[in-house]
Amino acid sequence: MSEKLLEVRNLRTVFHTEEGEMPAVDGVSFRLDSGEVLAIVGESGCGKSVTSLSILKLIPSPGEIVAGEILYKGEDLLKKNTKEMNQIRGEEISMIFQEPMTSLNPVFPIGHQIMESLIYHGEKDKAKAKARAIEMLRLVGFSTPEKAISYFPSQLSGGMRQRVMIAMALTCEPQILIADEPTTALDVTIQAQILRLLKELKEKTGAAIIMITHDLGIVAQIAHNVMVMYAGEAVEYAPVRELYKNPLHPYTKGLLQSIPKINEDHDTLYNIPGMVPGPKDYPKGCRFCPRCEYAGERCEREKPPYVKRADGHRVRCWLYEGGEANDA
Amino acid sequence: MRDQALLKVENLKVYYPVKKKSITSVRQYVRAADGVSFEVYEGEVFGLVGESGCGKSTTGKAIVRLIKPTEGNILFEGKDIFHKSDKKAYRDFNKQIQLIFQDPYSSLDPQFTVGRIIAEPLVVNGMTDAGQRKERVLELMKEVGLRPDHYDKYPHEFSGGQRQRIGVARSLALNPRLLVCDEPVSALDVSIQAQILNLMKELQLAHQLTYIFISHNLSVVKHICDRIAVMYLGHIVEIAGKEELFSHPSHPYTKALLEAIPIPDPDAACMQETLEGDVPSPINPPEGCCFHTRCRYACDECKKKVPELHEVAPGHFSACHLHQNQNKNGGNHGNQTNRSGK
Amino acid sequence: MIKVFLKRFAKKKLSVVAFFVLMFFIFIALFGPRLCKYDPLDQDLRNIYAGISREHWLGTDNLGRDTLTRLVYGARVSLGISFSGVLSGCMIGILLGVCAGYFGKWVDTVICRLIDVMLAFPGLLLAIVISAVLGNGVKNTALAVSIFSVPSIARMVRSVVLGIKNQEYIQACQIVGESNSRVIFTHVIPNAMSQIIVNTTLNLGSAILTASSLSFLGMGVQPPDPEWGTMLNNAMTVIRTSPIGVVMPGICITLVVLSFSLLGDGLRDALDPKLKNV
Repeated sequence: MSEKLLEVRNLRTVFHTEEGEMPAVDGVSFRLDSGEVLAIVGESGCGKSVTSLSILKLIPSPGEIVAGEILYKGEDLLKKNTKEMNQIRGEEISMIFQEPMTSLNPVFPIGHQIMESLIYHGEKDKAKAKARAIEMLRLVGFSTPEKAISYFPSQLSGGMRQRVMIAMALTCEPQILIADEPTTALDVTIQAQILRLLKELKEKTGAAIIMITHDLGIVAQIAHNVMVMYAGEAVEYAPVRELYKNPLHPYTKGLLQSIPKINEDHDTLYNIPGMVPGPKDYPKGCRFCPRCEYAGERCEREKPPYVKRADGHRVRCWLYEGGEANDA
Repeated sequence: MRDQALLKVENLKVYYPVKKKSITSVRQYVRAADGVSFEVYEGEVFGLVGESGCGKSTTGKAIVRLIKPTEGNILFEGKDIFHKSDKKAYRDFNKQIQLIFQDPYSSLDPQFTVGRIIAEPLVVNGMTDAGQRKERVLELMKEVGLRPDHYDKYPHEFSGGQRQRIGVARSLALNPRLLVCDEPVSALDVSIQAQILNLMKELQLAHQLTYIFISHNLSVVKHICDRIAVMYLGHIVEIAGKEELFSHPSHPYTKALLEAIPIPDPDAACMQETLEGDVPSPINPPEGCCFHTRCRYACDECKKKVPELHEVAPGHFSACHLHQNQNKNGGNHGNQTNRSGK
Repeated sequence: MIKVFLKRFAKKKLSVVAFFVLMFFIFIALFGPRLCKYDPLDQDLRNIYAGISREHWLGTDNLGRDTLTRLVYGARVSLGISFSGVLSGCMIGILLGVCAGYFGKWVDTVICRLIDVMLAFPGLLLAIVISAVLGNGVKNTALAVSIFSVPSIARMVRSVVLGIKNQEYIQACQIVGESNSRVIFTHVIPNAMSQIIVNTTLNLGSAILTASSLSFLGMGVQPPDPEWGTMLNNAMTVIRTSPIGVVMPGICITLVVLSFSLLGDGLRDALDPKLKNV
């Protein structure tokens, strides 16, 4: 459980646009242990997807990783060339996307697409690859996988397609599975099926999962640790129970309060005033400052550090700077 | 308040023809809504919940007359909204019933300024004086939380939440009495979603509005609605008051839906028993009870006979043979029958 | 909005050049004839097939008419035919396309079949048939060009309108009780306009080609009226001895057609609604 698998240090990914450099991810650091489920939560535009794409070096142009280190088993992925990265993608780290409709090739049967990745990663025997594809489809819940391998993506429902995506991602037994909003396009009952499947597969394969989502309900049900992102930065990191019982950052608190809960009643919902700033108008100090009810003068001026507190809780806020801050 | 229904939907059926595969084959239909009936009372928030393809949006669009029903009636204050004989009344329904759209991006004309977008319903409905119109638009903008300097801006200069505010202002322009809200917050981020939900609640109180709130998100529905109808494959399977529905769900599908919601609390028990399988195609829906293919309690009767909505508790209706039979055998509480069903 | 458009358009260097080339030709077509010292129809039989000289900058043709003067007058005819032809064709095309796309059902079926029939003829052949039926001359050539451009524009407009019709803002108008004509004129057409402009520009180029081809084949503008296609035809027989008579109208046609298509490309990129927020 505690063996360190992946460590991201000070990752900075920018997009070069007509109006200059837009930092989508700005100095994000975290670690992932083997067998862990880490959730990265945030609203649209907070940089959570770009973070995950950066890990696989799949940032589309005009984006570029300009600083930081991504250490996978002690080796920096940013120093690897394309060929080495291709070996790592799929075999060591693989990914599933939000939209299963567009992530599968519509002109090939699904079995072919699963075998493809096996053959690419060195499986010579076609019969073996086929057997493995059938095994994978059975694993993700197809009742007749022998028949299912010849289905085309268009013959499957959204939930089934997402299962195929998961099967493809897991065929080469990766150490890390990155799931980018895997259930956002699905209905609740199907979402529940997929989440349960992911949990089961994690037990069976022992893969660590990075779960990117905006849904705090999913996070609570599946994650061990949570990183909350806001405007390209990590603002809070904590074990899941700690985060829900004792959220520190005002943004996290606001988020948790603003979701209507099925098991509680409220007259009006708490809401965070204003909206998420775009990369070109990030405030100078704390990026949450204009929307924060506790914001003081210092928050406007200086950027708060990402401090570590007890129980592995990390937070980026001047409220929790501890003794030093009071003296200064 | 409960005396007369503001809106009454009676046996609404909307079928879309499917393209024939060959000339000889029988024409098939997508049964988007297949016998939907409910009543909405003045001043309440009525929720329509269900997964994609259950017909909730189709029902909503029929109420604002964007879709013509294949069968059935929609009565607003007792008058058929599709009846064309009285021209004035027919036009008047436009002012009384309005829609708030799901997608704040495609629901605003990109070539129009905010002021013109909100003024458009007024222009069409005979407010000719430009000064008066502008005054009204600014008043509406203030009400939904937009600044006067937004008047001359274009929609693409706004974020999703603000665009949704523009949409709300437009739908309020004609002082409607009934607002059909088609997934108004599902395209928005959580923090913005809360802002819009609060705004809608405030507006409802300020103008004594009646809402039909369509959503797939049960938590949101629970927050805002008074009475809720659960839909599945074009049918309403359960209608009940909010408290009753969430504390004593009666239909197996409602229970499964409630079970499937991930609760934002790591210690809460949920998602234990998930439904198997997918929603069947609405082109050839299963015979009998539409839910029997996925229902844990399905029996032979469910495969043959379509269950009717019947009262399991005061004001709580459910369409399931399980309770119907229990009731006949002397059980009279929906909730008890539930447990015996397990 | 206009600022953004100009900024983006300015980035396409080739399109900007094309724009100025076209402006030059249009200027020539409008004001050129006042600057010429010859009449395009004046013959000077003592001076046929003259080379480049101070009197005749681009030489003369088989009847001793000044080539430059005829090119300048020809610009007026060629551009006039293509503009009037395409614009009138465009009006009809927009009308048909909007009706087909917006109303759908049987209206769509009828209009689509009509377009299919028109597109089934090879384009030039259709134009030839039209001018053969209607007779020659400037007006009829313009008419042929106009009929020629209707189907492609109608089809383009139809597909654009189909996309717009499914946008929710159109439904929003219907809910407040807007009439179909108001929806079409205030919402559908303005939103389709950028694509209509791009396509019309591209069509103008091919219209020039059609008009010149017709004239070249003797089915369009008739001699002695100056038109680039007619001039080509006229000078073709002596291409070996006096190539300049062929080369100059050829260059003019090429430049104008190329410029229209480059301008169209530039406009397409600058008006692309997908990039609106960038």
